[in-house]
Amino acid sequence: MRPAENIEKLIRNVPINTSAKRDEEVLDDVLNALEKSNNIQSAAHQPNL
Amino acid sequence: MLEDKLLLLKFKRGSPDALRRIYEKYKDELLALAVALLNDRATAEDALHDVFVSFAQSADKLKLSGNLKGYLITCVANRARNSKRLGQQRMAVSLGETEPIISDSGKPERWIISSEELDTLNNALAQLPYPQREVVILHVQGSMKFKAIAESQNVSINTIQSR
Repeated sequence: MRPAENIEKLIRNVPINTSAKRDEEVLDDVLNALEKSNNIQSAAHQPNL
Repeated sequence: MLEDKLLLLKFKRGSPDALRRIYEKYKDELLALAVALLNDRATAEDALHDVFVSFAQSADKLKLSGNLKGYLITCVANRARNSKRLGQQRMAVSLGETEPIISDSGKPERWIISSEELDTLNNALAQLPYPQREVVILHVQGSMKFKAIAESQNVSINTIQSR
């Protein structure tokens, strides 16, 4: 294998994972943001009576 | 690819499950990319968080022409670039006007800690100017084509290849 290919392989195989605790925090915020966005969207589609 | 299209469709209709699945599917890859670009795990985690929050907020407005993974990679790269710029501005202010900041966490976390070889590579990448590092990381780790990188940065493909 050429040195450049070795380097590419190293970069591709970087061993990084998110932690379960961090995932929970991010998903909380992300799902809240989606819920707010959904609420705004559905309110905008309310019929005018 | 087909799964992504389905997920995207459900996500645009406001499905939390689809969004959760998208996050689970790409989080590790995107975090590795962010850490490689920013050289700091905490900042990279914040960037990933911000990307997904913005993504969630844009569910109904999203007009995605390319693939989902490429879109998220570009979002992470843009966010990392902004983070870097803000960090440099903050550093310029703090160096000029305040006492030096002493970190209580020792060395900043690095994206590679598992082997000497990877550490050497990390140090070498960290020495590259940011635009060059971004191209290397996006091309090799993000599997982005030079053309796509050029489009995401609004520069010509020749500029990207010369980096």
